[in-house]
Amino acid sequence: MNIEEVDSRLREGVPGGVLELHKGPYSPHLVVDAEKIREVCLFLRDDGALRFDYLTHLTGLDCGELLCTVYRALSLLHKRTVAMRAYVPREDPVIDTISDIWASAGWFEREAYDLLGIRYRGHADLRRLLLPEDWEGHPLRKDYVDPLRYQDIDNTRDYGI
Amino acid sequence: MKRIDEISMYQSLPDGVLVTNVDKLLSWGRLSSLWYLLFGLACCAIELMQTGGPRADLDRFGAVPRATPRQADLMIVAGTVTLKMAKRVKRLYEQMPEPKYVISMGSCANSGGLFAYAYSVLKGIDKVIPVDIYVPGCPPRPEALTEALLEIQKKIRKEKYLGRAEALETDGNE
Repeated sequence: MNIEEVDSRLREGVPGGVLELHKGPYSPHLVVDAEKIREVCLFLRDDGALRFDYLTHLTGLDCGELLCTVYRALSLLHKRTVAMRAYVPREDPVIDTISDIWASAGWFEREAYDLLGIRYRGHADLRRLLLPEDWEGHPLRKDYVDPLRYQDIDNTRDYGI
Repeated sequence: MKRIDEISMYQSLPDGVLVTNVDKLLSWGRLSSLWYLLFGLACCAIELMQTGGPRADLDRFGAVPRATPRQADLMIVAGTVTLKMAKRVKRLYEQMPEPKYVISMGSCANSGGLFAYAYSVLKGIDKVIPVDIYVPGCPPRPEALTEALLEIQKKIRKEKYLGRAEALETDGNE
Protein backbone atom coordinates (compact mmCIF):
# COMPACT_ATOMS: atom_id res chain seq x y z
CA MET A 1 0.00 0.00 0.00
CA ASN A 2 1.48 3.30 -1.03
CA ILE A 3 0.56 6.83 0.00
CA GLU A 4 -2.28 7.08 -2.55
CA GLU A 5 -3.96 4.06 -1.04
CA VAL A 6 -3.51 5.37 2.50
CA ASP A 7 -4.99 8.64 1.23
CA SER A 8 -8.07 7.02 -0.32
CA ARG A 9 -8.62 4.79 2.70
CA LEU A 10 -8.40 7.79 4.99
CA ARG A 11 -10.82 9.83 2.83
CA GLU A 12 -13.33 6.98 3.15
CA GLY A 13 -12.88 6.62 6.90
CA VAL A 14 -12.73 10.28 7.89
CA PRO A 15 -14.63 12.44 5.39
CA GLY A 16 -13.00 15.84 5.07
CA GLY A 17 -10.03 14.75 7.16
CA VAL A 18 -7.49 14.89 4.35
CA LEU A 19 -7.22 18.23 2.60
CA GLU A 20 -4.48 17.45 0.13
CA LEU A 21 -2.14 14.71 -0.99
CA HIS A 22 1.30 16.14 -1.42
CA LYS A 23 3.21 13.87 -3.74
CA GLY A 24 6.69 14.24 -5.02
CA PRO A 25 9.95 12.35 -4.94
CA TYR A 26 10.95 13.80 -1.61
CA SER A 27 8.88 13.08 1.49
CA PRO A 28 5.30 12.68 0.20
CA HIS A 29 2.78 13.62 2.84
CA LEU A 30 -0.88 14.21 3.53
CA VAL A 31 -2.12 17.61 4.59
CA VAL A 32 -4.86 17.02 7.12
CA ASP A 33 -7.47 19.28 8.65
CA ALA A 34 -6.18 20.48 12.02
CA GLU A 35 -9.72 20.34 13.41
CA LYS A 36 -9.96 16.65 12.61
CA ILE A 37 -6.48 15.57 13.64
CA ARG A 38 -7.75 13.31 16.42
CA GLU A 39 -10.22 11.50 14.17
CA VAL A 40 -7.54 11.02 11.52
CA CYS A 41 -5.01 9.68 14.00
CA LEU A 42 -7.51 7.35 15.65
CA PHE A 43 -8.51 5.99 12.26
CA LEU A 44 -4.88 5.53 11.22
CA ARG A 45 -4.18 3.63 14.41
CA ASP A 46 -7.30 1.48 14.65
CA ASP A 47 -8.32 0.73 11.06
CA GLY A 48 -7.48 -2.85 10.17
CA ALA A 49 -6.02 -2.02 6.77
CA LEU A 50 -3.82 0.77 8.13
CA ARG A 51 -2.77 -0.14 11.70
CA PHE A 52 -0.29 2.67 12.24
CA ASP A 53 0.52 1.54 15.75
CA TYR A 54 3.59 3.65 16.40
CA LEU A 55 4.24 7.40 16.11
CA THR A 56 7.92 7.66 15.28
CA HIS A 57 8.13 11.41 15.01
CA LEU A 58 6.36 14.66 15.64
CA THR A 59 7.86 18.04 15.01
CA GLY A 60 6.94 21.59 14.14
CA LEU A 61 7.68 24.06 11.36
CA ASP A 62 7.36 27.79 11.03
CA CYS A 63 5.73 28.41 7.62
CA GLY A 64 5.26 32.15 7.96
CA GLU A 65 1.52 32.84 8.25
CA LEU A 66 1.00 29.31 9.47
CA LEU A 67 2.65 27.04 11.96
CA CYS A 68 2.73 23.40 11.10
CA THR A 69 2.92 20.16 13.02
CA VAL A 70 4.47 17.24 11.17
CA TYR A 71 3.51 13.71 12.13
CA ARG A 72 5.14 10.51 11.00
CA ALA A 73 3.56 7.23 11.96
CA LEU A 74 4.78 3.70 11.42
CA SER A 75 2.88 0.47 11.00
CA LEU A 76 4.97 -2.33 12.40
CA LEU A 77 2.40 -4.83 11.12
CA HIS A 78 2.30 -3.63 7.52
CA LYS A 79 5.87 -2.24 7.48
CA ARG A 80 4.88 1.17 6.17
CA THR A 81 5.15 4.80 7.23
CA VAL A 82 2.99 7.83 6.58
CA ALA A 83 3.75 11.52 6.99
CA MET A 84 1.12 14.13 7.71
CA ARG A 85 1.03 17.86 8.21
CA ALA A 86 -1.52 19.95 10.04
CA TYR A 87 -1.44 23.74 9.75
CA VAL A 88 -2.63 26.18 12.39
CA PRO A 89 -2.73 29.99 12.21
CA ARG A 90 0.24 31.81 13.69
CA GLU A 91 -1.90 34.18 15.77
CA ASP A 92 -3.66 31.36 17.58
CA PRO A 93 -1.67 28.16 17.14
CA VAL A 94 -3.86 25.63 18.90
CA ILE A 95 -4.35 22.01 17.86
CA ASP A 96 -5.73 18.99 19.67
CA THR A 97 -3.21 16.75 21.37
CA ILE A 98 -2.66 13.21 20.16
CA SER A 99 -0.58 12.22 23.17
CA ASP A 100 -3.37 9.97 24.44
CA ILE A 101 -3.58 8.22 21.05
CA TRP A 102 0.14 7.62 20.72
CA ALA A 103 1.94 8.07 24.04
CA SER A 104 5.21 8.88 22.26
CA ALA A 105 3.66 12.19 21.17
CA GLY A 106 3.80 13.46 24.76
CA TRP A 107 7.38 14.71 24.79
CA PHE A 108 7.35 15.59 21.08
CA GLU A 109 4.43 17.93 21.64
CA ARG A 110 6.19 19.48 24.61
CA GLU A 111 9.24 20.05 22.42
CA ALA A 112 7.18 21.65 19.64
CA TYR A 113 5.47 23.81 22.22
CA ASP A 114 8.81 24.77 23.73
CA LEU A 115 10.52 25.75 20.49
CA LEU A 116 7.62 26.96 18.31
CA GLY A 117 4.83 27.81 20.72
CA ILE A 118 2.22 25.51 19.20
CA ARG A 119 -0.26 24.73 21.95
CA TYR A 120 -1.65 21.22 22.14
CA ARG A 121 -5.14 21.31 23.56
CA GLY A 122 -5.76 18.54 26.07
CA HIS A 123 -2.10 17.65 26.68
CA ALA A 124 -1.73 16.40 30.25
CA ASP A 125 1.48 18.31 31.03
CA LEU A 126 2.30 20.98 28.46
CA ARG A 127 5.48 22.48 29.89
CA ARG A 128 8.74 23.41 28.20
CA LEU A 129 10.87 20.36 27.56
CA LEU A 130 14.37 21.65 26.77
CA LEU A 131 14.62 25.31 27.67
CA PRO A 132 14.41 26.60 31.25
CA GLU A 133 10.91 27.19 32.53
CA ASP A 134 11.33 30.97 32.72
CA TRP A 135 12.54 31.32 29.12
CA GLU A 136 10.76 33.96 27.07
CA GLY A 137 9.66 33.30 23.50
CA HIS A 138 9.94 30.33 21.20
CA PRO A 139 13.37 30.22 19.52
CA LEU A 140 12.59 28.28 16.34
CA ARG A 141 10.12 30.90 15.14
CA LYS A 142 11.57 32.87 12.26
CA ASP A 143 10.94 36.22 13.97
CA TYR A 144 12.67 35.21 17.20
CA VAL A 145 15.31 37.64 18.43
CA ASP A 146 18.17 36.11 20.40
CA PRO A 147 18.26 37.40 23.98
CA LEU A 148 21.31 39.33 25.16
CA ARG A 149 20.92 38.26 28.74
CA TYR A 150 19.38 35.48 30.74
CA GLN A 151 18.44 36.25 34.34
CA ASP A 152 21.58 37.86 35.81
CA ILE A 153 23.94 36.53 33.12
CA ASP A 154 25.13 39.04 30.55
CA ASN A 155 25.46 36.92 27.42
CA THR A 156 27.20 39.32 25.08
CA ARG A 157 30.76 39.06 23.89
CA ASP A 158 32.79 41.10 21.43
CA TYR A 159 34.59 38.66 19.17
CA GLY A 160 36.16 41.47 17.16
CA ILE A 161 34.80 40.21 13.86
CA MET B 1 75.85 29.04 45.96
CA LYS B 2 75.36 27.98 49.52
CA ARG B 3 77.32 29.55 52.31
CA ILE B 4 79.77 27.43 54.22
CA ASP B 5 77.82 27.55 57.49
CA GLU B 6 74.60 26.50 55.66
CA ILE B 7 76.25 23.43 54.25
CA SER B 8 77.57 22.48 57.64
CA MET B 9 74.04 22.86 59.07
CA TYR B 10 72.60 20.48 56.50
CA GLN B 11 75.40 18.06 57.09
CA SER B 12 74.59 17.98 60.75
CA LEU B 13 71.00 16.80 60.08
CA PRO B 14 70.30 13.06 60.20
CA ASP B 15 69.28 11.20 57.02
CA GLY B 16 65.66 11.55 55.89
CA VAL B 17 65.18 15.06 57.22
CA LEU B 18 64.40 17.92 54.84
CA VAL B 19 64.45 21.58 55.61
CA THR B 20 61.82 23.80 54.05
CA ASN B 21 59.33 26.46 55.08
CA VAL B 22 55.68 25.97 55.92
CA ASP B 23 54.33 27.87 52.90
CA LYS B 24 56.29 25.71 50.50
CA LEU B 25 55.27 22.52 52.26
CA LEU B 26 51.59 23.47 52.17
CA SER B 27 51.77 24.44 48.50
CA TRP B 28 53.54 21.19 47.66
CA GLY B 29 50.85 19.26 49.47
CA ARG B 30 48.02 21.11 47.77
CA LEU B 31 49.42 20.96 44.25
CA SER B 32 50.10 17.26 44.59
CA SER B 33 46.53 16.32 45.36
CA LEU B 34 44.37 18.36 43.00
CA TRP B 35 41.05 16.57 43.05
CA TYR B 36 38.94 17.66 40.14
CA LEU B 37 35.19 17.70 40.03
CA LEU B 38 33.89 14.79 38.01
CA PHE B 39 31.61 16.33 35.45
CA GLY B 40 31.62 16.87 31.71
CA LEU B 41 29.22 18.76 29.52
CA ALA B 42 29.91 17.74 25.93
CA CYS B 43 32.51 16.14 23.66
CA CYS B 44 35.40 17.70 25.65
CA ALA B 45 34.35 15.36 28.46
CA ILE B 46 35.50 12.45 26.30
CA GLU B 47 38.98 13.95 26.13
CA LEU B 48 38.77 14.65 29.87
CA MET B 49 38.11 10.95 30.44
CA GLN B 50 41.06 10.10 28.21
CA THR B 51 43.24 12.43 30.26
CA GLY B 52 42.19 10.66 33.41
CA GLY B 53 42.79 7.29 31.77
CA PRO B 54 45.96 5.19 31.73
CA ARG B 55 47.68 6.80 28.73
CA ALA B 56 47.75 10.46 29.77
CA ASP B 57 47.32 9.38 33.40
CA LEU B 58 46.43 12.55 35.28
CA ASP B 59 46.59 10.41 38.41
CA ARG B 60 50.39 10.57 38.43
CA PHE B 61 50.13 14.25 39.40
CA GLY B 62 47.83 13.39 42.27
CA ALA B 63 44.73 14.50 40.37
CA VAL B 64 41.77 12.19 40.73
CA PRO B 65 38.14 12.80 39.85
CA ARG B 66 35.85 13.52 42.75
CA ALA B 67 32.11 13.15 42.35
CA THR B 68 31.14 15.85 44.81
CA PRO B 69 31.98 19.56 44.63
CA ARG B 70 32.44 19.65 48.39
CA GLN B 71 35.63 17.61 48.14
CA ALA B 72 36.98 19.06 44.91
CA ASP B 73 39.79 21.59 44.48
CA LEU B 74 39.61 22.00 40.74
CA MET B 75 36.77 22.41 38.31
CA ILE B 76 37.40 21.44 34.70
CA VAL B 77 34.62 22.92 32.59
CA ALA B 78 34.67 20.48 29.70
CA GLY B 79 32.19 21.35 26.99
CA THR B 80 29.43 23.61 25.76
CA VAL B 81 27.68 25.48 28.56
CA THR B 82 24.06 26.31 27.88
CA LEU B 83 22.39 29.14 29.74
CA LYS B 84 20.30 26.58 31.57
CA MET B 85 23.43 24.71 32.64
CA ALA B 86 25.33 27.91 33.47
CA LYS B 87 23.26 28.42 36.60
CA ARG B 88 24.05 24.90 37.70
CA VAL B 89 27.77 25.22 36.93
CA LYS B 90 27.83 28.37 39.05
CA ARG B 91 26.12 26.58 41.90
CA LEU B 92 28.62 23.70 41.70
CA TYR B 93 31.46 26.22 41.80
CA GLU B 94 29.97 27.91 44.83
CA GLN B 95 29.72 24.56 46.60
CA MET B 96 33.45 23.90 46.24
CA PRO B 97 35.60 24.84 49.25
CA GLU B 98 38.30 27.50 48.98
CA PRO B 99 40.92 27.54 47.62
CA LYS B 100 39.51 26.46 44.27
CA TYR B 101 40.68 26.61 40.68
CA VAL B 102 38.96 26.50 37.32
CA ILE B 103 40.21 25.20 33.99
CA SER B 104 38.13 26.27 31.02
CA MET B 105 38.58 23.40 28.56
CA GLY B 106 37.98 23.88 24.86
CA SER B 107 36.55 26.58 22.61
CA CYS B 108 32.99 26.29 23.90
CA ALA B 109 33.88 26.85 27.53
CA ASN B 110 36.32 29.62 26.51
CA SER B 111 34.04 31.68 24.31
CA GLY B 112 31.00 29.72 23.17
CA GLY B 113 33.05 28.31 20.30
CA LEU B 114 31.14 26.74 17.47
CA PHE B 115 27.84 27.49 19.18
CA ALA B 116 28.58 31.10 20.13
CA TYR B 117 25.64 32.44 18.10
CA ALA B 118 23.11 29.93 19.33
CA TYR B 119 20.33 31.48 21.39
CA SER B 120 20.78 29.12 24.31
CA VAL B 121 24.57 28.91 24.67
CA LEU B 122 26.69 30.83 27.16
CA LYS B 123 29.42 32.85 25.45
CA GLY B 124 32.26 31.68 27.67
CA ILE B 125 32.24 30.27 31.18
CA ASP B 126 34.06 33.37 32.47
CA LYS B 127 30.72 35.17 32.22
CA VAL B 128 29.67 33.14 35.25
CA ILE B 129 32.73 31.98 37.23
CA PRO B 130 36.38 33.11 37.41
CA VAL B 131 38.77 31.09 35.26
CA ASP B 132 42.44 30.33 36.00
CA ILE B 133 43.54 28.55 32.84
CA TYR B 134 42.02 28.55 29.36
CA VAL B 135 42.82 25.56 27.16
CA PRO B 136 42.27 26.17 23.44
CA GLY B 137 41.19 23.39 21.11
CA CYS B 138 38.08 21.73 19.83
CA PRO B 139 38.46 19.54 21.73
CA PRO B 140 41.95 19.91 23.27
CA ARG B 141 44.10 16.82 23.29
CA PRO B 142 44.85 15.09 26.61
CA GLU B 143 48.38 16.51 26.44
CA ALA B 144 46.93 20.03 26.41
CA LEU B 145 44.76 19.36 29.43
CA THR B 146 47.71 17.79 31.23
CA GLU B 147 49.69 20.95 30.57
CA ALA B 148 46.82 23.02 31.97
CA LEU B 149 47.01 20.98 35.16
CA LEU B 150 50.76 21.58 35.32
CA GLU B 151 50.10 25.32 34.92
CA ILE B 152 47.66 25.19 37.84
CA GLN B 153 50.37 23.42 39.84
CA LYS B 154 52.84 26.17 38.95
CA LYS B 155 50.31 28.74 40.10
CA ILE B 156 49.77 26.95 43.41
CA ARG B 157 53.52 26.57 43.94
CA LYS B 158 53.87 30.36 43.90
CA GLU B 159 50.99 30.93 46.30
CA LYS B 160 51.44 31.58 49.99
CA TYR B 161 48.47 29.73 51.40
CA LEU B 162 48.67 31.00 54.98
CA GLY B 163 49.14 34.57 53.87
CA ARG B 164 46.23 34.17 51.48
CA ALA B 165 43.92 33.00 54.26
CA GLU B 166 44.96 35.97 56.38
CA ALA B 167 44.34 38.40 53.53
CA LEU B 168 40.89 36.92 52.95
CA GLU B 169 40.09 37.32 56.62
CA THR B 170 41.14 40.95 56.82
CA ASP B 171 39.50 42.39 53.69
CA GLY B 172 36.56 39.99 53.82
CA ASN B 173 36.35 39.68 50.07
CA GLU B 174 35.52 36.56 48.04
